[in-house]
Formats: sequence, structure tokens, C-alpha cells
Amino acid sequence: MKNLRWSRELTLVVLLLCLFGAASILEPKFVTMRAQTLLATHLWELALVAIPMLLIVITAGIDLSVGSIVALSAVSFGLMFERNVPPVVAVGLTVLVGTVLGSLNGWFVTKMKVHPLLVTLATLAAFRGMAEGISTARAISGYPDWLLNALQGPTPIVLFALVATGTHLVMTQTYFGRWVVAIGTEENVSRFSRIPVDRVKQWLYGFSGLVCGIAAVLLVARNNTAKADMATGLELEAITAVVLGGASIHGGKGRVTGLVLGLLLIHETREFVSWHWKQNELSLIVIGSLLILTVLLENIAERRKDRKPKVAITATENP
Amino acid sequence: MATIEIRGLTKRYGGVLALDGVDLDIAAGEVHAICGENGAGKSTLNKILAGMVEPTSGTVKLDGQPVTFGSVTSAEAAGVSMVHQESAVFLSMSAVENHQLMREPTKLGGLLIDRAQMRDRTSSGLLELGESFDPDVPLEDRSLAQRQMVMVARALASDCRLLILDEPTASLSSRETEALFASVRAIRDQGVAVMYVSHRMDEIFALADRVTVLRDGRHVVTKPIAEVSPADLVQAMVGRDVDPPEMRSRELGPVRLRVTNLASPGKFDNISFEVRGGEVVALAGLVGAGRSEVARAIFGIDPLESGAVWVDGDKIALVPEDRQHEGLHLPFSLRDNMAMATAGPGRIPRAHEAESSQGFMQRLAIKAPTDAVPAQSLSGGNQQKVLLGKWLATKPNVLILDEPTRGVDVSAKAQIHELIAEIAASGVAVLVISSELKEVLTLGDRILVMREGKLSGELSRTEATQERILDLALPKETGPEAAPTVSSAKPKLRPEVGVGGLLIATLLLAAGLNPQFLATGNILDMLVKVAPALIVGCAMTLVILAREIDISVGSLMGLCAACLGVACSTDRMGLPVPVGVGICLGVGVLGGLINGLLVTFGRVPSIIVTLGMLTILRGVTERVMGGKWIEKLPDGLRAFGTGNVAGLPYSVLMAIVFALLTWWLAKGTRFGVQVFALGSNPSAAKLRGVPEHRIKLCVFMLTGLAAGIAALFSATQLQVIESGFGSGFELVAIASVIVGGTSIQGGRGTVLGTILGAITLGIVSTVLIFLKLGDSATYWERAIQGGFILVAIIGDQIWRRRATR
Repeated sequence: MKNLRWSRELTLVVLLLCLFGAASILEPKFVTMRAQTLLATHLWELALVAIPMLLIVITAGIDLSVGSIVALSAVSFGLMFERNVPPVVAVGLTVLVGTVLGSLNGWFVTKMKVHPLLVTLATLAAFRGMAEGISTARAISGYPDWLLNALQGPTPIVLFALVATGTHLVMTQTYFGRWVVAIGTEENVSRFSRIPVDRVKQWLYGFSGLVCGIAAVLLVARNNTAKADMATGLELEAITAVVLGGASIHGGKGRVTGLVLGLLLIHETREFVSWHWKQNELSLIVIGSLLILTVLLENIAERRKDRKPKVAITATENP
Repeated sequence: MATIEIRGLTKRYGGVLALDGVDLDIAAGEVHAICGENGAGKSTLNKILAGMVEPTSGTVKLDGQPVTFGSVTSAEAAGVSMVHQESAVFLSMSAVENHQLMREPTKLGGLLIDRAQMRDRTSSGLLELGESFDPDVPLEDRSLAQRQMVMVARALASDCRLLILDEPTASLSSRETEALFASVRAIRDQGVAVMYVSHRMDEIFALADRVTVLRDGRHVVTKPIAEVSPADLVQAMVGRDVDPPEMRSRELGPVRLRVTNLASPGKFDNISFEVRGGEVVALAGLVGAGRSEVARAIFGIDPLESGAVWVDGDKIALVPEDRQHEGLHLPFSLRDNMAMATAGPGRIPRAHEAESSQGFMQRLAIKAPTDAVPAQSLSGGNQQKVLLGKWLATKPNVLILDEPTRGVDVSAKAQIHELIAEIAASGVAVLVISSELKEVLTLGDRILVMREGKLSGELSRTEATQERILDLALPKETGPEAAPTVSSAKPKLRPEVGVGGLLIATLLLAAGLNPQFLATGNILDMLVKVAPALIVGCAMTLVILAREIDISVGSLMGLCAACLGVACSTDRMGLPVPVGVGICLGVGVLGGLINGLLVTFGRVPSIIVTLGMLTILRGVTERVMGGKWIEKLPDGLRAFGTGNVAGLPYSVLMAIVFALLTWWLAKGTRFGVQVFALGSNPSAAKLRGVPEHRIKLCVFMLTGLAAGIAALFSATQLQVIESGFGSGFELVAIASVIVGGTSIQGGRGTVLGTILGAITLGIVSTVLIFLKLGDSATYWERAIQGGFILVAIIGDQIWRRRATR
């Protein structure tokens, strides 16, 4: 950014600084590297899943089924493991399962022309149910230590960094990224511009599934168990992060940088509140309010700005 | 005595003077035409008179009394009616509802709207205009002209002193235009003042008694129509003489576009022609003759149904008619727009893009500070040039332009005409679609004319005249009534038929697998389970009809149950049962009120509000419960969940009462009609004075109340209330609404459909347990329910698309 405008990113940075400021007075131990590294282990599945969610929201779509895709992929991983599929193959197949499920969403959205909210609402129920069905709602545990170790520690961080940086580059440097924004801005104009709208959407829902597959493997490794009720409500957390990060739920607007800051704010708020007050439910209240207030305050600020007389930049045609 | 006296009327938008001290008198019993270029201030004048905007200064007197209109409704009450352009109709609603919205007569002391009387009023209003179609069919199934006639009938139906018609004939055939003119003359003769805004000279001279020209927001001249000529008017509008562009003759190259036997049922048929490099072919015809559809098919936006299109090198460009919805990404910069159609999906070559964009800024003389400003900040003419640049950047061999100068003022028009000639001279084959005869004659080397989906003739430049083109374009009067552009009403199935069939099918299947399923006891058990979903689903139907959504109902139910339990449990506060019930319902309504306030006054999208509330309420619930289950509910409270009247459980009874209540609200009240209007077309609803905030607050509060009632009747069935009570319930409620055939985009759907949807889902979820297929089957319950929802929704979509074809 050459000229500094007030953006959502700035709002989030200010909020984060306030949080850390308060924390360093109230809970000095919270603001240490050690504590932060310890707390960060909870973050990565959500962080990963939020990235494709951002892209889908930018196209004015939504994917409510991510939590269920993670659960079904995780359970598939567990079952494969139980049946002695080599772990590396199982990881690959799990990611494939996720991708297929996501692509199925994409197929319903693009080929059947069903609203994404409806498609993914239905697959949210269906995939979760399938996870229960194939696992008969058991927890599947007992993974070898070497596998658990390989999938924890720096692995999730590196994966997230790769996906986030890659997505950021695609969104800012390529036509594909511009198409994603263009589709969310006005889909019909995009079709008239010969942008392959359906193919882009199909890709994004598939990408969402793929990332869910990866998140599923990480989640199983972190908990050393696979169960059908894993990642319940993940979709809502991801959407919260996306909207808090500045994306418009009506499409056409959103950045990876904002999302990363939004994720960070949610994460730090949640951890700090439960650290300080030792109550998890309080963090729910704080995060929900944060979501509504951010959008509300920006609306009010915008209305203020509109009330001031604007300088018209309309070029007149008459000489 | 003038009916309307306007003195010094001024409207300032920010730094722009849209209307600058206009004085105007319109007498009773005259048709007063208003003309002027785009941006001359015509629409601002209309909007002030119709009560849509307030003037910055100046006065308006109606019959000698000074008036100020705060809203469209108050303007209508004072006797000023405006026929809005086509965008102001409610497509998913019937002609009756469109005609009577905000004026519905009621019966039984205001309890019910009188649909029979509404229908009579509409039919007689339409009959006066010579229309006699079935007014109960949704307007989306009527032709553009018939929709327009409904709007005119509406304006005439009110006891009006001044009638404002803004480009009323844009979508009418010549016969319909004549019928409209006849009615306008008739009401003029009754002493009504008519203000007629139009671009069409022939109409102004056919209809008007006096004419006023506006330019740059100022009043230029008012004269009796007999004292002016069309040329005078044009000069007054433009402020100077306009030279027609000089057309140089060009050398024709090889054929670059060849269209053979193109056809698409219901749109166009048997279209064949060629365009050569360097040639400009104009495609003339009336609006609705199928010209744009042909262009879309050639370009490949619509699938080719039959026939063949050959384009030299496959490099074809289409400059569409609607800049906002087809042409440009208005929030994007000029540079991004002009690179939008070039290539992809890989890395953007920034330097090349900047260079190309600068080139077009100069070549097309686009007036903008830089190419980084958003396209929406430009005037129509400059936007059109950007759109031209966007497609020239693809270096096309064939260029199709659909109405390239619509909404563009005279000087920009001349520039665009010159550009088109230049482009052709560079060897491109150009096809121009235009409804303006002068433009067709100026641009076309050859002129093709379409009539009712067929090519009716071809004229060379030398043989073409306005008369000959019109002769080929106008429908033959001897033929049957011109086919409406939208297929006329085939009887449509009611929306509940789909879900009703589904319900019967599931019921039969369940009964077939185990006849015991139909025993009264089982059916009642099933209904008890369905009751909460039914109650919340019915209220949710209204929310979704109003184009909103509430995903916080599950959490709100949890909170209501928690408050109820904490208040009444003998372990906790042990308050009397009625107090607890009051708290439970009160919390529900309060939750709905907060949602509603944030959506209406806070202008936060409902999905975000209720997503946030879903999280917040879950946290509050845990707080309220204090980390423990709630046990020991008093017997008086448990009766809500377990009691019955003559074998009918209370909860089922309550569900029936609530369903009837919402059904009455949706179908029998003005409130219901307004909910549909808001969902069908929000901006038009606002225009008609539908009280958006009040209605949305009401539907959210009703949903909150429903959550409270559902919590009251379902939590009391349990021994203990856990903190997770109600979670995921929002999905069941929304699924019931959607399976019931209500559109997620608002404005379409029924409460009855939701009732059937909720019961169907209830059967599906209980039938598995009932069939006793063994333990493993219970694990598949949710999968089958989810799969069922998926199939039902997708089936519904496919069925609907078939029906609209």
C-alpha cells in the first residue's frame, strides 16, 4: 500500500495491540514465546480451513460443510489405519477423500445450479451422518508415535504458511485471483467477460475439500483419535474469521492478509480470555460480539463518511 | 389555475447540482412532456414530485397548497402518482398483489385482507386499459408490456391529480402504446394533469399539449407543442447543433462471421447472415424481436441450440447492452476492466497491462483522472468507451455491439460512432444492434431487420429509409395478437405439490416397510418430535420470505430452556411456573429483537448477526447454567412437555396453533403481503413505502418467540436440560423451510410447504428407529436424513428449472 488508508487490517492490528497491551499488564506470562507456542497448537486446523473459505466467500458463495468434510475425512483415515493401510498411503487417500467431497459440493453448485448455502447445508448433514455411519460413532485411536510426531510441531505451521502465502500470491499476482474477485463482484459481467466462472468455482470447492482433508489428518494426529463428532462448528469459526478479516459476505471483497489477522485476533482473544478468567464460555461471548461489532462499527463509520459532501470525480462530457 | 406550481426547485447531491432553480406549471387537463438529455435533471424532478427525494430548496404547490412529501405514500395520498420503470415490479407476486400493495382492503374488522375485492379492483383497472388477463398469475409469467400495464393501472387507480409517466413505452409494442395513449388522453380529459417524460419525439408530438426542455438541471423552454418542431427540441436539449458523423466508405475484406440457420425455440428462428471484414452491419428491429438473444448465441453466452456459427480465428467480442449487469465490473479500476477479457489464468503482466490501458485511454479519449479510478465514477459515455476498450484489447476479428449508445449523451454518441467506423476500417467485422433508426442509418453499410424472432429483410445503405426499416420491423397488424415475450401462463402447480408428494411417498414407503407405522400412537409420537421444528420453521419461513436468515434459533432455544430451567427448577431458584414461562418466552422475544435491531438499524447482514448471536448465546447459556445440568423440574412445568388434551399432546396442539397463526400472517394480512414484497424486490418495496424496519423487526421477534415456545414444549419433555440443548436445531428448521419449497432468495414460498417439509423430515428421522433394523442402523440415521435433504433440495431445483422453461 503506497498511501495508508484505513483498512480492516489496520483495525485488526490496533485491536491486537490493545489485547497484547492489556495482557502484558494483567497476565505477563501470557505474552511470552513459550506460552504462545504452547497455545498455538490449537489454531492450525481452523487457520487452514479458513483460507479456501475466504476464496469461496469472495465469490459470494459459502461452504458450511467444512466441519463435516474434516470429520468424514478423519474417520476415513482412522478406518484405513485400522485396516492396516500404510500410513503414508492413508494420508494421501484421506486428502483425496476430502477433495472428492469438496468437488461434489462444487459439482452441485456449478452443474446443478443450486445455491451454495443450500448445497453445503445439506452436505453438512449428510457428510457428518456418513462419518457416524461408517465409524459407528466409535473413536479410533492408537496411531504410531512416529506418525503423530511427524504431523505435529512445525508441520502444521509450515503447511499453513505454504497455503497462505501461495493463496496470497495467486490472489494478488494472477488473473485467477482477479477472476475470483470479479465473480463475486458481478457474476454475470464475469460470464460476459469470458471468465470460466463455473470452472473457477469448481476449483475452489475442490480446494476447500483438499485443505479439509489435510486438516483432518492434522486433527487426528493432535488428538491421537478419529471420531465422527470432530470439528463440529468449524464452519462457523472459519466464517467468523473470514468476515472479521474484512471479507464481505456478499462477495467481491476480502484479502488473505486480513484473514490472517482475523484468525490471530480470534485465537489470541479466545486463549487470553480463558487464560485470565478460566472460563471458556466467556470467550464465546467475546468472539461473537467482536464479529458483530466490527461490522457494525464500520457500517456506522461509513455512514458518517457518506454524510460529508463528497467531491465529485465524475468527468463531465460537455466541453 | 395550474394544478402544479413549481418554483425555484433545486436539488444538490454533494457538489453536483442536479436541479437548479426550476420553475414549471402543469395545468389540470394537460399532458405536459418533459425532455432533455441524460443528466438534464428529468429523473430528479420526477423523484421530488413523487416523494422519493426531498428538494434542497424551492417549493411545490398542488392546487394552490404548498406540499412537501416525505415519502412515496404521502405523495400518493396527496394525489401524485408515478408509474415507475420496469424495475419496480414484484415479479414473484401476482398482478393483484402488485396492483393493491399498501392499499389492500380488509374485512372482518381488519383481521383479513379481502382478496376477492382486491381481485375485482385489479381486473376492472386493467379492463379500462384494454387488458383482460388472469390477474392471479405471478407477473414473471406475463409479458413486459402486461407488467407495465399493471403499473399504469395502479397509478390510475389512486385518486390522482398529477400522473407522472417516466418512459412508459420502453417495453411496449405499438398496439399497446396506442392503448396506453388512449387511456392517458381519457384521464387527461377527466381533468388530471399528466407529466410525460420521454426521449421519443414521435410520442411527444402525438400525445403532449405542451413541452418543457431541461438542460444541465435548468429550465430551458416551455412551449405549446404546436409551436415547436422536433429539430427545435433537439437543439434546445443539446444547446447547439449536432453534425452527423461523416461516414467514409471502406474496403471490404473476407468474410469473418458466418451464421447459418441459427435457432432457439421461443426466441429466434432461421437466422443466417454473413459479415465481412471492414463492414458494419446494423441489426434493427423492435425491443423483444430477439436481436440481443441472437448476439448472445453467436458470442456463446447462451448455448447454441441449433445452427452453426463460424468466426474467423474464433476471436469474437460482444459489447453488451447493460453496462452494470453485463458489461463492466463497476467497482474495478478502468485498467483492470480493460484487461478483464484478455487472458489468464496465470501471472498478470503488469507493465504490459499498464501500457495497453494507457493506450486505450488516449485512443478512445476516455475522460478520467487516471486509469486507476473505479469504473462506476465515470459517466455513461465514458463507461461505454471503457467497455469498448475492454473488448478491443482482445484484438477481435468480429465485434458485436448491442445498443452501443444507450444512455449516452449526444456528444459522446458522436465520438462512439466515429470509433465504430474506425474499428471497421481496421478490418474488423462489426455487427451493431440498435433500436434507434437514425443510428442504424448512420452506421450500417447493410441493414438487417428482425421481426418476432425472424430476419424479415435486408436493406443496403442506399435503399434504406426509416419508413422501410419500420415496415420490416413492425408486426403485421393482420396477424394474431403478437406473441408476448414471456411465454404466457400455462397452469402452474402450486409450490406445495412437490413437498406434498414427497410427504406421501415417504409415508407410503414407511407404511409399506412396516404397517404399524401408521398407528395413531406412532403418528402422535412422531408429531411430538416434529412440533419444535414445525413451530420454529413456520416463523423462519417468514424470515426467509423477507430475504433474511436466522441461524441463531438453536442457540436461542438453548438459552430459553436454560433460563426456564434455572428459574423453575427446585434445585435452583424455584420460581412459580408462570413466571418461568414468562421469562422463557421473554428471552426468546428479546433475542429476536436484538437480531432484528442489528439487521435493520445496524444494517449488518442477517447471516453475520445471527452467526455472532449463535456464538454469543451459547456462551451466555453456559453462564446461566453455571456448568451444571438442570434437574428437578417441577411437575407443573413438566406438564407442558408431557400433558395432553383428549389424547392430543400440548406440544402438537401448540404447533397447530402456531402454524395457523403464521399461515394467517403470511396469507391473510397486509403484513404478510409486505413480507413477500420485501423479499421479492427490496428496493421496489421501499419505493412503495413498505415499512422495512418494522416488518423485519417483527419477523425476527416472531422467530425469537417461536424459539421460546419450542424450548418450552421440548425441554420440558426431558428429565434434565443440558447446555447443548438446541444446538444444530437451526439446520433442522431451515431444512424444513427449504424442503418445503421456499426460495432462499426470498419472496417465494408458503407456510404450508414448511409444515409439510417439517413433517417429511420427521418421518424420515423416526422411520429408521421404528423399523428396528438393528443397532447399526441408528448410526446411519443422520446420514440418511442428510442425504434426503440433499436429494429433496436438488430435486426441487431441477423440477423448478423445468417448470420455468
